[in-house]
Amino acid sequence: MIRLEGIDKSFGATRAVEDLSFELPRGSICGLLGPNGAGKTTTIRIILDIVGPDAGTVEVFGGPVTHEARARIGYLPEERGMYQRMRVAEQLAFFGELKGMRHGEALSEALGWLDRLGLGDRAADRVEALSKGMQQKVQFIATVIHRPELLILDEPFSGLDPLNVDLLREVVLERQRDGATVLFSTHMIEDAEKICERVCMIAGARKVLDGPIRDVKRESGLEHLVIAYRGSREFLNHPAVASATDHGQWVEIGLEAGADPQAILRRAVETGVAIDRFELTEPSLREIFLERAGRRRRANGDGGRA
Amino acid sequence: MSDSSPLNRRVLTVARREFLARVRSRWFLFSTLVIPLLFVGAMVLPAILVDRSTSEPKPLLIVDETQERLSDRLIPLLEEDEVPARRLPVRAGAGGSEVADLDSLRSRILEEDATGEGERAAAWLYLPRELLNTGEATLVEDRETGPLLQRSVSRALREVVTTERLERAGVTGEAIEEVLRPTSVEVEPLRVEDGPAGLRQALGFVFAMALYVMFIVYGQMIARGVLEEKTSDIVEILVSSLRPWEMMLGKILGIGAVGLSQVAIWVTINGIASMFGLASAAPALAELGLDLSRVSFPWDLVLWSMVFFFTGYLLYSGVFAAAGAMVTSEQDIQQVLIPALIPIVLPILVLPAAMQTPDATWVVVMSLIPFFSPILMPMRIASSHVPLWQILLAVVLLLVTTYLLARAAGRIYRMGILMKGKRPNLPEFMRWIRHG
Repeated sequence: MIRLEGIDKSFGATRAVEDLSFELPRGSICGLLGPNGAGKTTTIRIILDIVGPDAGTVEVFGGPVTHEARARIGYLPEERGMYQRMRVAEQLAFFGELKGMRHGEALSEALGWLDRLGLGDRAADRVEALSKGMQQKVQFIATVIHRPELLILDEPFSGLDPLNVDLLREVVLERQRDGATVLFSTHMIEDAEKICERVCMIAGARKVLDGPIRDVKRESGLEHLVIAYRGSREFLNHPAVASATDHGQWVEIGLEAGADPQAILRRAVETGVAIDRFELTEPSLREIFLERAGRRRRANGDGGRA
Repeated sequence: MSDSSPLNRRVLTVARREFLARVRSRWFLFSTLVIPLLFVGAMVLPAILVDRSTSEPKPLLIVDETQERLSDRLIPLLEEDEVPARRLPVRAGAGGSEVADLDSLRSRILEEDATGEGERAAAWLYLPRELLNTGEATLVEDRETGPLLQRSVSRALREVVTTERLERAGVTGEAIEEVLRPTSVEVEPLRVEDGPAGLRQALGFVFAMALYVMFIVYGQMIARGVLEEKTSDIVEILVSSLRPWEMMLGKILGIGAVGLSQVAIWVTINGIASMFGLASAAPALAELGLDLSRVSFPWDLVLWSMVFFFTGYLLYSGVFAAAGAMVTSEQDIQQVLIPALIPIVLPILVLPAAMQTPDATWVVVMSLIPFFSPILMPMRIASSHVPLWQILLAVVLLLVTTYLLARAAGRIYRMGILMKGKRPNLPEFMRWIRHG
């Protein structure tokens, strides 16, 4: 559905995207993950041909990004914007028409969506009269009104209350069940872990990893230990512990290769720590990301010295 | 409509949105209705004021020092010309006549004016003792009296003095009338159907001013519209749905349609008003030797003005669209609008001079230059007989420039619309234009 190969993009001296390749199969739902400024929005803009890449090729629907192709995409930009003085339903009809719908068809679709998202009584209001959250929902409707085959959503849930996040997520998943492919970016990795089948992680303009979440976790080769304890954290200074992330209620521990987790448990008991939970598990996406991004940074550092 | 056609559905959708958004605004209602009212007011108000002031015209007061009492003959002649005149009663005093010369007349008037006992007068006419010999009289005015009064006075005076001189030379009655029978010069246009040159030129001036105002008003509207889309972040969605040139063209067409509807409404209102106006003014115009039924509608002027309006609008709207795309905030927009306005303002500054000498070399050259031709060429067509090749050359140059500029503007637009923060410098712009 989407295929990027060897994409490079710089703005002046800043590398925004470097040698990025990834593929998104039809019908999948994929999270584009990375910290702020990693190059997510630039990648999305390149897919939509809003900015051209310096090098590399982009394919959507198995071909170049033509205008016919773009009419089949629904795009929710990170920076939301609408004509403030225009009425809600007319605005949605306008965006629908730009995507090739007839005026009447676009208008009745718009009214249907507004009803569904609880904005039915605001159809004749000017956009400027709506609250920020309502405007965000209207913007979301503008993205899906023409039933696109590919949805590209840039930080779709940021700034919404949990109720509305659930409402929009339901719509996104429903569109996916109807056969649409979804790519959405977020810096909230936990969000993506809940919805996505696939992830593509970027950091510092480069891809860190991508693929189905299940594979990513399996291939990470990492085994994680989750321990909830009461007492001194001294036992964590054990040679088997590669990394320890304190989540507050529990600690997530990355193990050194070939290390025996039981050794850590023994040490904990020896130092008089009370253990409430001791669980060997696959790592969270967040841990994998931190591990990979960190490894890359180290590799870059070594390369720099060499 | 095919997808790559300049008038595809997306362009038309954008154009319709731009049109409706503006036509439904309060601004449109206000400017469409109020501006013609101002026009009508500007035409009617002076007439009302003049009417009131002439309802009781102030008389011309004559101080007659001639022995022949020439004022006796002068007053009826002036009154025939609708100039009320009266001899200034000479106040009784020592030494016969009180007013001996011009200076004492002046001081007497000032004195009476100060005390408020003097009679209000349009002006004072001083006829000196030696008038018959010298033929010289003096008209003293406190306020501008205008050429009409001066002409009436000098004509009447000439007739009186001539009659008196002829009588002294022994010529009598009918012979004098024969000598004094009036002569006149009539001004006729070479091409009768053009009507009087002044009328056509006035029309040309009105067209030039109208073009100027429309370019400025609608040009700025385009620039601000582009900026609004940038500052409200709407441009990102638009760019993902249509090509930048489609956005630009849709906007230009939509706002152009607003302008045309506005003009159409104005023309209709003014047309109705002037139909009544002309009908009532026809007798007066006929008296001035202007037979409206012989003047045909100036089709050539109107058609060429429209050609220059459309191409000029396209030229300038590209400039303004690019200007709006270059800036990122309302504060910055004046900086780019001013350079964009200069080529529109310049021809207006030279317009009065150019109208006097529409075929001077500098006017001809300026009227061929693309940025100036939309305003100057219609004015020249109105004021002179411009060779067809010059008009066509101006149109061709204008079209070529419009095409090149639209391409450059499209590139600036494409690069500029997504730009935020810092305004790019000149080398960056040149790079946009070359590679955009």
